Amino acid sequence: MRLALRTATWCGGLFALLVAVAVGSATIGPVSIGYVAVAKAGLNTLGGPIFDFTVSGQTQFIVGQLRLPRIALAATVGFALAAAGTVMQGFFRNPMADPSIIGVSSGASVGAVAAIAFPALVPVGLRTAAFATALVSAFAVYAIATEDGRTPVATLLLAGVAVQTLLGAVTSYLLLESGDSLREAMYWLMGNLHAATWREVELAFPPAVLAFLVLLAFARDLNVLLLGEEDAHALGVSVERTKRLLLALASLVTAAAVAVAGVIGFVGLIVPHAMRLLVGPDHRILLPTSALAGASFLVVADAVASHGPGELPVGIVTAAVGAPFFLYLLRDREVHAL
Amino acid sequence: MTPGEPSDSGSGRPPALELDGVSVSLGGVDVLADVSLTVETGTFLGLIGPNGAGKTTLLRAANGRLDPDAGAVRIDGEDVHALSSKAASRRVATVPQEPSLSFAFPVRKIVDMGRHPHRDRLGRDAGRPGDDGGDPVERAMERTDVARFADRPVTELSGGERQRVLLARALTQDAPLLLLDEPTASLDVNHGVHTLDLVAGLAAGGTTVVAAIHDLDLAARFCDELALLSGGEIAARGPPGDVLDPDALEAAFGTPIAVGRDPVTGAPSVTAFPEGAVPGGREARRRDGATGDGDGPDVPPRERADQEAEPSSE
Repeated sequence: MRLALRTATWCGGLFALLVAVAVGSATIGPVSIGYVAVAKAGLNTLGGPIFDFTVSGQTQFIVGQLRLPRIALAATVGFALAAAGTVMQGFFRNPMADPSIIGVSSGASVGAVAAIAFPALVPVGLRTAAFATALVSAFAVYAIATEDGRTPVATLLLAGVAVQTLLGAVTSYLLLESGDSLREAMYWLMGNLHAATWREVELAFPPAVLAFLVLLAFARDLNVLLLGEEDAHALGVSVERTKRLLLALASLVTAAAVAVAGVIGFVGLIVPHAMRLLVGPDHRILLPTSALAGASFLVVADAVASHGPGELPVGIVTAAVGAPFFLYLLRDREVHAL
Repeated sequence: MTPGEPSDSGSGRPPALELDGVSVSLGGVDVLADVSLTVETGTFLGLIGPNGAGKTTLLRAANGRLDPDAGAVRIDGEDVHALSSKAASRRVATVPQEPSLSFAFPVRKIVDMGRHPHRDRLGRDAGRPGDDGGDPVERAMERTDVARFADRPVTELSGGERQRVLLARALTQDAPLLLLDEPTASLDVNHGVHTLDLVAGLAAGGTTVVAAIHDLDLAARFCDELALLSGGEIAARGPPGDVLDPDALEAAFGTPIAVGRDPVTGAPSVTAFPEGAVPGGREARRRDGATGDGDGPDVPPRERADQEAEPSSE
């Protein structure tokens, strides 16, 4: 029960941090709005009929319809990517694993760039195209690496790298041929939250939370799987079935996030590492704390991206902040040992 | 005795472990060829044989990790592949050869994972014994002498310490069949003896143990029976004194071998020589001369079983 208490404390603290950065982020913008007004307007929006604070119509609109959806989407995507990254790192027993390691993001990129550059050829819309190609790519990598019902992790990793390279070539070609829509495509590829509405949140939030809860129920199995597959089998984990489920859920979560927000790198790689250093490798505490920390991280990164000298794709900020931080960890702490 | 035949049978209950015509090929190479092996409840069987003879593969087939190409593996009469992973791991605990512990879990958490087969998805432990002897995790750590570093990350331990952590984890699993793959490979002399003594004590208490052991002297001293694996087949099976036959060992290991007696324990003592370098010629190979073929050691192999499972205090 000591662990349960620690988990609750950490999660409580990180949730408070998330609320704080969300409110803080919502005060910033062309129109400066005070904390209290943001909190009131936010509760009016999220709390539906329960709350009815008096705020000016303009403030209510800016907070409720412009800033909050973007913050909520950033939090959802950060939550999803960090959770999926935690699972993938544990699954692959490899510190370099990220949520897209089996080709989800590169698959989504092909679908999205095709939809942006050749809308006539891809009539299903950008989000659907990205989501579908993401899942198809992940499944293809899985199928390629599977033989006789077994999926060796090393084969999966290499198949993922090869398929990502192939899809990267396809994306590059599509970009070359994309003409006037090149800039829009590049924006998508570097992660974009600037067009966020509540619609995107509605699409991404339910799958992210549902898959997260199932993954959380498998936290013990993931711990045992960290000991290696021989040991996991000896301890009663149905190895191949558990691997399939973890891969499917982590890829689904990632695909949902990428489809609404584009490719946002480093969140799923850095945040689990940082949290592992803070709370240890036990997934019962690592998974929820990583997810919450990922949410806060992306909210802050997006605030920086949108309120700097010009609107930047958030992927640039996460990579620009994430890479030096990762290098610091690499030099200073024993990241290679996880 | 025919190789692979059970040493004593006739009791009504099924054997604790039964391999029935098991063949396994890995990467196109036949590693086990039609191996049949029966281990009765409470027996401590040592698997000996040269590197690549199939000892590890036999253990992996026995715990259900490997699907044999032919034949069946039965634990207490039940086909191990017909059981769910969880059900199988409540019947058989395995101590693997190479601990792949690269994540910084504290020792106690690793040992606690031995309870995984007994837990449901919400972490409730169905089989945790109530008041007899306290917490199985703490008890297993005491018995394997790892309690001293229970809170240290397992990544900071030496190879031998990790091996004992894995033994503790297997004890926590509380299964009637225990498989060990080279449990003493990286242990120093005191812990090696201590580990085998502990395991022999478990066998005396009714646990069935099958252990691959590369140290033939230790195997002879602690095991009830030995099975000599060679080229994926069981070349000999029986009490240590019978199996440790110089000719059989020479055929299996491909080098001249002499079998004598340990002056202290009286158990068979095996000495291998490089090809063509047997001191004193072939006559010297059976150094105890007096005892004829297959008399077995004077001291019963489970010499210290009367100490039961208590750890010996040094």
